[in-house]
Amino acid sequence: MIDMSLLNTIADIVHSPWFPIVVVGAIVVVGCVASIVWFIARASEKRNFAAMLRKLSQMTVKLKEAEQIGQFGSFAWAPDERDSFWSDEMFTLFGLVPGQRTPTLEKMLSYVYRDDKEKTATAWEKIRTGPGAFSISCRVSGPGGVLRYLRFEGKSSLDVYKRLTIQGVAHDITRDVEVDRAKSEFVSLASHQLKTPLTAIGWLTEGLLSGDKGSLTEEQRKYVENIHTTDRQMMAMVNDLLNVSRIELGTLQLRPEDVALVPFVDAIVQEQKAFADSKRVRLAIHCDRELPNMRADKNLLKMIFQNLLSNAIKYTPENGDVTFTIVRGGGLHEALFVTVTDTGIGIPKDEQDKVFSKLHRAKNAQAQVPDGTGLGLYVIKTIIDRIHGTITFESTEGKGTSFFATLPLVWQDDSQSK
Amino acid sequence: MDTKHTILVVEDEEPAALPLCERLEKEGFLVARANNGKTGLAVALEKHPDLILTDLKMPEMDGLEMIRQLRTDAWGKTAKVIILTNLSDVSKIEEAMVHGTFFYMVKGDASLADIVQKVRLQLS
Repeated sequence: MIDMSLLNTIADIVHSPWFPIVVVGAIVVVGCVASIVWFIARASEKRNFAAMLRKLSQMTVKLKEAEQIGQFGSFAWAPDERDSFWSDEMFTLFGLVPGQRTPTLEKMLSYVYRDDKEKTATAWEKIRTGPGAFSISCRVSGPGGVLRYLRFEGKSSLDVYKRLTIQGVAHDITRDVEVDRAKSEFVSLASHQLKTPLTAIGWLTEGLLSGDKGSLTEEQRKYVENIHTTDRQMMAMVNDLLNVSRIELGTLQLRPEDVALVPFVDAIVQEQKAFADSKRVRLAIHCDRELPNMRADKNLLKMIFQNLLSNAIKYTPENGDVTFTIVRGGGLHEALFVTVTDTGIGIPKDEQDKVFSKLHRAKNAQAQVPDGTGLGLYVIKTIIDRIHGTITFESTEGKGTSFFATLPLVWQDDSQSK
Repeated sequence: MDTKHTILVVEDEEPAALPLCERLEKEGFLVARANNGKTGLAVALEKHPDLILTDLKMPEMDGLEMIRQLRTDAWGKTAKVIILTNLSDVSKIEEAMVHGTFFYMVKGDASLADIVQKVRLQLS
């Protein structure tokens, strides 16, 4: 039920002469309030926008400074050329004046140093085939003619229309490359200077032992043999140090060639037999006489066999046994299975996880044989990893150790193709 | 009559050259000796040895330059060369290979017996 008195009151107000004035007044008041609120909101929005602009500008300056300090530039190549971008530092790295139109990928490749052009173009072509992370190094020479080593790191990704955008940073690595080269030259020179006298001692004593200078008395022979053995040990130590330096500088190179395995293994065994005899350790060989030729780096393969055998002999006491087994294995990729088992001092359980670590020598090994660098197993593990082989071991302290190596019959070095 | 092969040893380190030359003579080779690349080149072009055993790092003219100049000579173009070096710089060895060197050996890893074996293999 509608209350009739309320309806009458409303009718009185509407028909009152003040009503239009009240209505207009109310509209004006509401309008003013709304306008004030709107103005306040706009001013606040403007303030926020100005603050954001200030912040963006500060960040841009900071990024620019960081790029200058860190000697890197940032880039993006987008499907729409207007979205492509090079930072000022990126232009500077190429010897170009900042602020120009962003060079296309093809234009950038025209600045790559001529010897690096082909491989760099191939690498970029690969990046353009699909999304993913990348890292490329090459030399560039811009219009200024200054040669720089740059490393490009970044990722390529697809936008909503499945179009590829490439973005990342380019670092100036010229100084790093120069330092590495200087280190490498120093190692090469140092190794040459150390090896020269050791070579002469080795050859002079070999000549004496072979009777090139007449026969020796038993005592003289023993002395010369000791000099010769010590010389070879020092040479092995220099080689180990040199190889560690090469590994750390990333300059250890594989030079695969055809290796006739049977005579190759025979020669190493003959050499190690003399060492085993001098220690009164029995050395048994089980070598498949039908072994095929192998495509391997002779020096590195020799180092693997020598290290495994000499370690086994070194840490096996008198009257102990060392067994060297080498057979051909099948499977998807043909391989050589090498096992070296000894009845030596073994490796303590709590030190087994460090066997392939650089400079590590187990406490019982140090006590038995004070000489040694702890580099041999680290070097051969690195080489075996590099050729996609495997090496494992089983050991019981006081009872002996077995090393198991699987070496591919064809060595491939893919470390340079990254 | 069996003709003896002539080997030219180009090596500046006397203590290393001495046992090497003596071993080669003992094995029945005629041995000529030079102590740097410059002399080595002159002796090679004069005597036309059957094989040259050369070091790389030597005073006056290094082994690489000697091989490079040797290859410009009509006889030297096909002369047999074995590099015997302790230099571990692979790029230098690769450069020597470009100049037609058949073999290289790392001195520190090779015994006199190894060298004689390689020499015989090259001459066979």
